[in-house]
Amino acid sequence: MAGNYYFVIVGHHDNPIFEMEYFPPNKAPDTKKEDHRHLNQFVAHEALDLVDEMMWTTPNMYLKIVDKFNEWFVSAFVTAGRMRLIMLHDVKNEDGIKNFFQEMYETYIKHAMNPFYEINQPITSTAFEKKAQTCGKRHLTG
Amino acid sequence: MAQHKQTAHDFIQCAFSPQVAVLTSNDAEQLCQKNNLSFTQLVQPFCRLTTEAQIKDPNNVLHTLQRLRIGMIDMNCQVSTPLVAKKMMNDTVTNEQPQIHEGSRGNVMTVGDYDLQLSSATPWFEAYRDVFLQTIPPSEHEFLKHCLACIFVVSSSHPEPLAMLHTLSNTQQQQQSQFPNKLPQWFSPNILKYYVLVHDMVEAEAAKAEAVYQSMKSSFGHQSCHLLQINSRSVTAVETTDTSFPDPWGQFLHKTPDNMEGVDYDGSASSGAEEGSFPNKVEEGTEKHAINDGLNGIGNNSTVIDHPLALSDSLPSPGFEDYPSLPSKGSHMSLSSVQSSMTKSGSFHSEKGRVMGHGMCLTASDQDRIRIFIHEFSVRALIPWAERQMRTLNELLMSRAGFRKSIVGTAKKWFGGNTNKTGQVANTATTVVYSKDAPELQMRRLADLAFLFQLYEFAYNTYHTAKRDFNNDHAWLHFAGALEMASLSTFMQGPQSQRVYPDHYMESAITTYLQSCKNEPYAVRATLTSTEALTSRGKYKEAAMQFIKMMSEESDLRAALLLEQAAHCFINMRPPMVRKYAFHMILSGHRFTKSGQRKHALRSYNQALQIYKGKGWDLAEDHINFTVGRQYHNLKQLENATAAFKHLLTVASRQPAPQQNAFLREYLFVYRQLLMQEVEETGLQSNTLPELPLPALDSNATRVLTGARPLQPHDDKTYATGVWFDDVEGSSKNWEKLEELLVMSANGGSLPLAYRPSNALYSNSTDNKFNPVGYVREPITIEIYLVNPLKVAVTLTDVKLLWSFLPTIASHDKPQLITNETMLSAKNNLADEIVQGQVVKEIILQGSDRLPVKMTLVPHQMGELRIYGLTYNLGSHATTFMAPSQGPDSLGVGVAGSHKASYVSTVYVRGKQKIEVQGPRLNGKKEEMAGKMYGPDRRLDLSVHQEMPILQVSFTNFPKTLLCGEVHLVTVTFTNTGSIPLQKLKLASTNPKYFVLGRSEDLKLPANVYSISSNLKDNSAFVTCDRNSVKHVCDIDIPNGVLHQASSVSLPLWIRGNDIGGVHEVDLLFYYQASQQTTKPRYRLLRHSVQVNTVESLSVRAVAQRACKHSSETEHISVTDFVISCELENLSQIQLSRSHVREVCVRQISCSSQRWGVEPLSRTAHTDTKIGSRELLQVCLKSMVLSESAHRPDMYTFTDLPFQNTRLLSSATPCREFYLRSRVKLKSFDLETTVNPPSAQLGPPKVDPELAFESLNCAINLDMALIILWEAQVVDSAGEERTCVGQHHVIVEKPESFFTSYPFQILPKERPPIKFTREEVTSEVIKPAFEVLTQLVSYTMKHKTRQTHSFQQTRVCLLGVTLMLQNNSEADVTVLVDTSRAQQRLSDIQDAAGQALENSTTGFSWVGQTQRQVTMTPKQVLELSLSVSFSRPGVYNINNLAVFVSHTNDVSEMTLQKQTRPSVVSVLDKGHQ
Repeated sequence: MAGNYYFVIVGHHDNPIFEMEYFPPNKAPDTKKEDHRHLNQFVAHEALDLVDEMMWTTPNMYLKIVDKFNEWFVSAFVTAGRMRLIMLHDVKNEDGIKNFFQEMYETYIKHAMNPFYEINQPITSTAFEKKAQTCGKRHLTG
Repeated sequence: MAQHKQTAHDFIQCAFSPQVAVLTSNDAEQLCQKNNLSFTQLVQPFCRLTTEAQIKDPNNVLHTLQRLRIGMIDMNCQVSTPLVAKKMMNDTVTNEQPQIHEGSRGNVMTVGDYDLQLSSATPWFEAYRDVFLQTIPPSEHEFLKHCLACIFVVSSSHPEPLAMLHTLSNTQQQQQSQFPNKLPQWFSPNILKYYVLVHDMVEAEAAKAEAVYQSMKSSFGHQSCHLLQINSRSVTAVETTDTSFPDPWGQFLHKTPDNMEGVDYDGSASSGAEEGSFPNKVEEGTEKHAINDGLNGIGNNSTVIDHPLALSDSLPSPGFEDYPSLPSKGSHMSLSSVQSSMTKSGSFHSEKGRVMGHGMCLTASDQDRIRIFIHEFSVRALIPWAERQMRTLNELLMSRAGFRKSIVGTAKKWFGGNTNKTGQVANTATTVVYSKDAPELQMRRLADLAFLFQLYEFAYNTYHTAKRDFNNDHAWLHFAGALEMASLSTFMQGPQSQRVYPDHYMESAITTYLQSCKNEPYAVRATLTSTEALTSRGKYKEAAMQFIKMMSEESDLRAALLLEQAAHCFINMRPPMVRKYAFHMILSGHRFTKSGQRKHALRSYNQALQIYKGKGWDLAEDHINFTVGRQYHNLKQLENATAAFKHLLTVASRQPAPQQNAFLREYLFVYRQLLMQEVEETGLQSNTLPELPLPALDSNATRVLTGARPLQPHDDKTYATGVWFDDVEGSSKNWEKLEELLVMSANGGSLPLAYRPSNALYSNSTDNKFNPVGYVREPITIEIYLVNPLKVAVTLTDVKLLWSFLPTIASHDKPQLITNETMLSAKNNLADEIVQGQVVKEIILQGSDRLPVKMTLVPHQMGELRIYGLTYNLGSHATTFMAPSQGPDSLGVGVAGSHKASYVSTVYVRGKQKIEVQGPRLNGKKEEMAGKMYGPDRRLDLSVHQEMPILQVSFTNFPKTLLCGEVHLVTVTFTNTGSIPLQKLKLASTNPKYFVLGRSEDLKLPANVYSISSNLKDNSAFVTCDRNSVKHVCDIDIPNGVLHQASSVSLPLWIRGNDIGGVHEVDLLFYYQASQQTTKPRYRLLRHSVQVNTVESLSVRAVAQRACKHSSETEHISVTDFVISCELENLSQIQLSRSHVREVCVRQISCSSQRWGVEPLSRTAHTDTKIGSRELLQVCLKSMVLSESAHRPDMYTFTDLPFQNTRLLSSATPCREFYLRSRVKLKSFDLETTVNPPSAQLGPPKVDPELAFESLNCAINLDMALIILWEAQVVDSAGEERTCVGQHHVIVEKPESFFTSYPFQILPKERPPIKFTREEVTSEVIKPAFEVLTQLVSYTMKHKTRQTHSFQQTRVCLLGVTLMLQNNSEADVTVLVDTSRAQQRLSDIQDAAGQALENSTTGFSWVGQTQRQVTMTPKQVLELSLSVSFSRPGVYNINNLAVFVSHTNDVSEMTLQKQTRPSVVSVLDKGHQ
């Protein structure tokens, strides 16, 4: 499903530890989008309040759409360790996002098991990035 | 929602209070103006009843009115048009600013990880709300804002007050009837009329007033008349007395637009109140005023004048694009002066306000009278009127109600167009317009009246009924209004109400207002009241939602305010929604920006920044910082602006390059403005430079080098490499060792107590516990790594090091700390005299670049120099910014005006960066391991010592490539470039074998490497050679021992190519001291490191064999002669177009030995000794024992065997020394300095087997060295030929084995496996080597080689043989000669003793004594006579006897000696011949 996505993993101190944007494969991110990239962060950050509220209401990790701002929907996924995976999307794609979250969760766990990685530190691994990229291609934009 | 001054209840009550119109006569108005107030303003503070009042509802139930508030409006006051209203709102919001600097106002709130500083009060919102409610255009669907009554005011000084009152009354009547649409609107046709006579206590007569009042009472009724006495104080009295009582009007007045001018929003009004006397101020004020006016004219185009008027029309705020026009001189001047006058004019305004104070003529009793007047009016007139009115309306409605109940429901269907309703269709098809007296409206009117007079229960019921009607009629506006009020009435009943607050009513009211009626103002009003109600009940989330819903595009200001309230709601929720708060603050700030409310925008963004700060939301943070920076800049708070922009230029910036470029420029621009402003304000430049964020310094990579940069080689001269930054760090170990050796040798063999190796290059990996030492007038070079974290290039110009200097003066008072940190780089002469610093003109640092920058300082005084920073002009690279119209020098910011480079046009600022180095992490103690503690690092704190001599060493013709064994002459020159004489020049080297330093006399000789003599006869020389002279350290001879200033000494230096081909590195360390004794450090060092590539040339193999002397030879036969055969091979290969050896010509072979000389055997002079590539030359030599006189330990005889006409003196300098060096086995470099090898203490001292048996060992010790001197034709890569000479050494240690010139590579011994069991220490008996034992004695037989015998005559032929034994050793030995058992072991012989077995096959046997034992003294030659018998003719080798030797007396230790050459005897039979 084509659409724009912005994915962020938020750590325990409300700090983003991994960010990635996905665009439909045929069109490159235009420069106008570049200028508004901070909006993604604002919206994702704002949604944290609702995520924190919602996660106590359901036993599921996947919280579906928790918030909406202008054209953006915000979906969330809270891991057992309370890492919050937030997705901003402008099209509805529940299954894709759910699968994406699940897969990223597994990838994250593997990464977190690296003894040299400290929890809540930004993830700089290129392997992780690559994984996130292919994962996004498969479930979101592909 | 923020906390408000009023409670929700109060607010709603105020918002919907009974309105009363006021109509005053001119004279009454004038009377009031004495107090600088209009009549409405005068009474306004007293419009709230302080006591309770009673009211009956239409059902005759008595209710209590709490704190009834009456709204007074001037009938003549202008109706505010939407535009004016908008401006008013803008102004009010602008005027209400938070006290930013007052920290106590904001309370700190901790939510989760966040600590927030919140200011919970939002007075600007309340002010806006009030103005909004005031200016909301009236609508026909409600009567809340309609005037219930009209008060007519006339003064007692009026000539005909009664007539005037009638006129006024008529005016009102007229207006109501003729212009029903003109404001104010009236509640009903028969409004309450109230007549007031104002009486001036000072000016008018009381009697007249009383009379008029009486007549008023009679004509209008006593209940609707009042005599108000005011102005008990005269105006003149006001000027003298101090009016210290509180001003109750202040809080109301600013809300009226008329008073706007008097109030400055900078809020300095209170400060002005205490200032001096009145007339002065007026003068000053007018003057200022003129200036201000003038400036407004000038400043108009610059758009940054921060005046309330400039903001009024809510234009989009001037963008940053306008900036370039600013720095022009004129406008800049005006700007700052405007600024300064602005602050002053602020106080001026307040002074004017103070002069024009309110209510000066009113005494406290006057105020009480006003209060009484309002009370009278409300209780006596207004409330009864309202009661009556309600009753009437109620009755009217009740009478209709019966009718309606039965009919209306069905009648409606039948009579679609009811007479009551003119079913007009407005813009929406469902909107119904009621006629003025329609019962629905009457209902509403009743409800409104009840609501105004706090009969909420009644009002609710009425509203509820009305709501149903309106709903049925699809009169949406009315419906929404009724809904709104119904829910408010419920709310106003408070907790005692049985009903729950119907917030869905409000919800649908707002929706209806918005969607069906498109009536936004009312929707907003509903929102304002509703949210107030909701928040007072703690329903913050719903309130927030309502606020957000009203965030329309129409009014940015309103949206901003509502969003801010929403944000406050979020933060007030339980649990607080901090992040929502932050986001809505951002949105609010955005809208504030759009509406031109800069301060509010700034405040909002700053609030939000608290949450985003430092969390890693880079883009968001950048956005906020950027906006904040811009707002600060707009508000002329340049310092804060700079700080905000500074945050944008961080390492982790993820912005794209153009964005970064923009950030950088904005930062630079603002910063520059700030600096200029500071200069203008203070008149002088601050002495400390500001710290700049760019570029980042990699402080810990900083390296410090003391001493000058080594000179680059030129022509054929190379200079000592010294120390420079590109040195490999790992080699410092070698240097330290060399230094130790040097110091030891200079210090008489031991290290001084507090010795520590000196260092010239201090880096991250060196030990920086001690201060580096610099010397006066010697440069100190600092290498700093600049890192550009941005993706765009930055330009640094005029880069200088910052330092502070504490001179060491021997005298009294405390020395003063001197630093070169000033804004001006040009006027820094004093500091420059003390420490002269290098200025780097321009450094362009590309994006993401890491660049080392080297800068030097030359101190000119002794003291302590501390380098703490770097100062530079920071500029962006590209020059798209407009150049400032005037030169930078005239501004005095930063640049010395002397140079105008390309970068002058860029915008730049001068600032500094600190260099802070961190020592190594400590790991010694427990707390150090647990925590993170770092040691001190003093590499930037140098101590500058007095001048020292400076040695400069240069080499002429230093070759890069040598042949193996080639000897090359280099001239080395020592120059003292310092101003102090130097002495004790020493040289240490890692490998002293490969160079020889001559004396200065040697240079005078012709430039040949070897000395040549044509005397071929005397070919031996007897020379002393001290092997111990070859050490790692050698002293260098300088004439008189002292090298004076600027004098130099040249010495020859021969270097010899290493025997092994390849690249060899030799480190030379020169040591010298100042001639006068100085304090520590006493000595200085100079390093030189060379790399020499050696190419293989010649390889020599030699073997010595004992000469086999035949008895037939005539000469004196010695057993001790040796034949030496040499094989010389040219190893080089001819390679085209590369340097190679064409041929090697052996010039001479010399022998150096203590005992031996050589003679040629195979060749003589003039034979061809050229060896081509890969060719082999064989030379045989004979060695002979020299005369005994030569036999002294350190005396060597050099014997030369030249192959050409000339003889090379092998005993002369380079040759001899190199030979000596080849002989010396230097102790390994590390061992030389270790004083006590740890193994020495363990176990008993070991006896070196070599030494123990020296006397025996010398038996086979030949100790003869061959020196092969050669000459090679070398073709270099350019095809040119050159001749070089060299030498190889072969040391023939013992006979019968091969020796080569090529040094043996000692393979590391394989270690035995480590055993953990204890081993038995077996005390070994040390024995001499077996090889030695078998060669202790050499023997030869002397006999006839040819014997003719007639076996016919005698069966046996006897031959006498002399056995010559020579004791080779230096010890006494016992020799046993056994002829019987040849080649058998002694023990076997002993076993078979007595059984003489004749071996018949050999044909000969020894006769006579078979065993003889003799003792031989050292070196003794002994002859023994033996005889041998032959039984038949033939050729015999008679050398089959056994010689056993023992060096002890123990016979069992006898060792068979090695068999020597055969001794052949031919026995001929005479008979056969």
